[in-house]
Amino acid sequence: MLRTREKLFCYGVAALFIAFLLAPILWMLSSSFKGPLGIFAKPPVLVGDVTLENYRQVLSDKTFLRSFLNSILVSAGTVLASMLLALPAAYGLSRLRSVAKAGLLSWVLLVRAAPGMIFVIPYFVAFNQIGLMDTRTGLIVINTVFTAPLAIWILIAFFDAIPLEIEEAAVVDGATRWQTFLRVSLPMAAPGIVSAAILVFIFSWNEFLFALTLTQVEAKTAAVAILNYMAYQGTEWGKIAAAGIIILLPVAVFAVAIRKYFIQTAAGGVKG
Amino acid sequence: MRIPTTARLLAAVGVLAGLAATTALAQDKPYEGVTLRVLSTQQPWDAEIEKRVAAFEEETGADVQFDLYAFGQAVQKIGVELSTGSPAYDVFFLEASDVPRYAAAGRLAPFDDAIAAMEGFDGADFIPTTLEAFKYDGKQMGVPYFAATQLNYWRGPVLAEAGFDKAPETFEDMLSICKALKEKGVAPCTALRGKPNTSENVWYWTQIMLAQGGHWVKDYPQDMTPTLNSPEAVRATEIYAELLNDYSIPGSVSAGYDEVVVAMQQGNIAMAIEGAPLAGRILDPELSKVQGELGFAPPPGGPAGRFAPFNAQGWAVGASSKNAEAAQAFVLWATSKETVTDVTLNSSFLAVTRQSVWNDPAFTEKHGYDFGYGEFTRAYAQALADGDPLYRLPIPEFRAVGDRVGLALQEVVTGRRSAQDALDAAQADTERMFRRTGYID
Amino acid sequence: MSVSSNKGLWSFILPTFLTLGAITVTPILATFGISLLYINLTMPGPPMFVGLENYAELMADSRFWNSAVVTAELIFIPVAAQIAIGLLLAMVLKEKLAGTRWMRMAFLLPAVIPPAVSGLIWKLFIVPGAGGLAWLGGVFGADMSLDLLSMPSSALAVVIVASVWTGTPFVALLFLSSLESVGDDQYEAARIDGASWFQSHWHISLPELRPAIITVTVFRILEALAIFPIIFVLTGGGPAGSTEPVNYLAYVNGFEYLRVDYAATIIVSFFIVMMALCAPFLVGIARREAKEAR
Repeated sequence: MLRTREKLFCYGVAALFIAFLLAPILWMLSSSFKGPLGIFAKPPVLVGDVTLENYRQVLSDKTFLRSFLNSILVSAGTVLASMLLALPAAYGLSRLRSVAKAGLLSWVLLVRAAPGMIFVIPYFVAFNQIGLMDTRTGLIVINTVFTAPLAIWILIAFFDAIPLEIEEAAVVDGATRWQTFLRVSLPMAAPGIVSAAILVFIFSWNEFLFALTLTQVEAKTAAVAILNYMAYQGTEWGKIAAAGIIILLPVAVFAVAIRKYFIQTAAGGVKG
Repeated sequence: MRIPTTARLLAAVGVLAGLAATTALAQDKPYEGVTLRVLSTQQPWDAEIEKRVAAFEEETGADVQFDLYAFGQAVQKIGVELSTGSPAYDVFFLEASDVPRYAAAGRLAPFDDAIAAMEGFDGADFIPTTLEAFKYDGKQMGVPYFAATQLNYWRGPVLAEAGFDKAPETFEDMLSICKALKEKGVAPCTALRGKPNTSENVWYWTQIMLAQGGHWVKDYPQDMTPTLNSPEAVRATEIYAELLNDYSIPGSVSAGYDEVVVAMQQGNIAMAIEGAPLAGRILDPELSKVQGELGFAPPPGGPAGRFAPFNAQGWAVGASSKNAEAAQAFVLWATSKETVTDVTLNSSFLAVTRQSVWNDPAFTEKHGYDFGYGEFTRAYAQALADGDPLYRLPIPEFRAVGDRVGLALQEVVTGRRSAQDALDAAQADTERMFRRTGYID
Repeated sequence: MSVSSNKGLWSFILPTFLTLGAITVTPILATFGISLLYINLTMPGPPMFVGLENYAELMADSRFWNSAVVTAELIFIPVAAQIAIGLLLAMVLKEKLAGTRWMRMAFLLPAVIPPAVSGLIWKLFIVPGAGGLAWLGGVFGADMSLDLLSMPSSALAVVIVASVWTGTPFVALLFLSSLESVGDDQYEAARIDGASWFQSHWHISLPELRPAIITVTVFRILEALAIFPIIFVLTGGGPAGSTEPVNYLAYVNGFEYLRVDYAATIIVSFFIVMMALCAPFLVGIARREAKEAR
């Protein structure tokens, strides 16, 4: 049991950190409801002239809405592509007994650890040649470079957890390995697949560097399009705040939805 | 029966004329269904043209879409688009100094035929240096709509309070006025651009450097050895740093022109050397607090003379554009006498490149601000006359050099390096770049 | 056929790894190739092979060395802070205080907010004289209206704080999940022996967490430069290059100065250094994972 003084200390640390954590976010939230007067009030005010105008403007801005749709489509596409690549590979690796296993796993980790810029340059050159510049397809391809290894790593743990005996039973009944995988292992790994998919979605939703360099107009995603509000006649903070809140809401909801798995999956290999 | 040759010829001409007429009729809206994409900056000009573009769309059937970005961001995006030959955009904003950068590699579509084909465009009406600045290899690579230079905006009553009755002639004078203002506690002296790139702090600093007698290179174009760490350049950098650190409002290190304009508009400072085209915003009837006390003078000079910044900005069409003809028609429409006159008389935009507009009494009446401390259009004309065509070197690498110097300037004002050290490093990096491109051995 | 044999498994693994090889290894090799060329995008004519010339230039480039120092600062300071604060928070959260469930949820936020938005959140928070920081200053009677982004040292500090803000809660949750496997009785025993709260954690939790600390440190180091979007939004690498790490310098060279070859040189050099430092750990983790599986 904690002594009173220690308890106070713990509460103090927790309160201090949570204030540090939430203060900037809450400030953006409150700014998103401020009119131009409230935003630049000196001294600043916590609650200004309350208005929904910022949200109304952002949600009626066609350019922003298009980028929001792009974010959804690109993220969904990335999830699909990553899962198609990662599911069989993760299953195969989970069942593999071979020295090659450690090698393949190392490789997955090394690719994950490479800096994004190292991919941007050749993809930038190549996309210009083959017409994938400024397309959602192109963005899905390069996002998958990062998300597929991540998904493989996460999914292996979930396949590992499926008892071999169950598969054994299916094989005895005459199923092939692929049939076993599709009918037995996949359904059993469903919770893992969902949380891996959500994690890939979040990654792709948040991705910035690739969208910044490999899209121009058509395929630009929301995380980059929000910068349009940093204009020359002063930054439009009201709209930025509103757009920021709109962009972060979906991923925040997703993260809470998979919070049970979030840490073990997002850790992606950090098991201790 | 023999038909006379002349008659046959006449008949042929008639048929041709008829054909031409039918085509013209069919092409009543010649660019129906064409979408033109414009990649440009968020400046008053762009906003004004966007407001008026419906007329062009109505007339030609084209659909014009604007993608406008903050200045630095726009320049960066344009660089990427043009250098990769991407067809995503048709019309590009360009500063004249960037024309060689893209024209040398054939990234721009020349306007000569389009201009020749257009009646009433009247190229002779342009301020010659501005149109000239958009030529490369004798071809017209873009059309300028913006004649950029800077003016010294100074508040007469404020300077009078410190005992001065006119704008400084040299930057050394400016320092002593600033010092007096500070010592007497009258007002913060000035604000200036501190963002580290060719279009911000370097655009300001270059006039000090040239006025001190410095140059970008030893002897353009014969001897391209950079002279960025010459004593003159070092002295200029010290002046720039002193202005910024001792006499400028806080935040100048990261300021762009917008911050400077607001500081002047709100009457927070006594003096600002800023873009002449920004007078309209500084004197915005609704926001300005300096109406009635503002004076206009060409920017200060130095021992070597006065070197007002000079550059033209315009629109160019990419060589990879799939609708180059329509895009050029759009640019020529936007820069036509009618459009330009309409814009200047009905907005705060005034940096026009057409002499006929400058000579238009209606223009002078609208923009010829005069509060008894120097008249605006006269100062503007003087500054344009003082402008050095080699203010920026017309070489493809100029922006890279300018950005490197911009970084050095910021290192000095933030106290990370001395002026000499910072410029030595910039000089070394530039020499390396020039050796690579073969300008020097 | 038995499921414990390797038979047929390669049909699961190979298609994916061949595809991944094509979209990951090829580009990395291509980037290395590009770094050996002279490419001027704005000039006509094909690229020219120049060998290691770009690397020689890099070694003499003062801006690169500056950014190498910034890189070290932006990796080691935030990671050290994340680990230290993360450990403390994990210990605090392990005590089932009122409100910890709610706190754990809040802790997820910084990790999932798009980094570009995080950058904007901080930029808005420190707007000189009008941001949340100035408001807080007003509440506590301190003047906090300085323009923090206009001075090299304070701009770097802001980026570091933002980086700590993004990473720490996540690190804390990771440590917490490792700590939860430690039985309460161990702590009880220590308490009976008279150890204070802190001492008991020092002697029990820390040794327990050692492997986790090492792994988390390696991963945080590798991901430290993922704050690119935050830097892009907050400072643009400035003022005077004080917040310009190497991946940002590579971006500026490639996409502002259009020197793709030099950008490739910068990022390849960085990749090599990072791999030399971290690859042994990564391979170790992969080996352990391979063995761990039944």
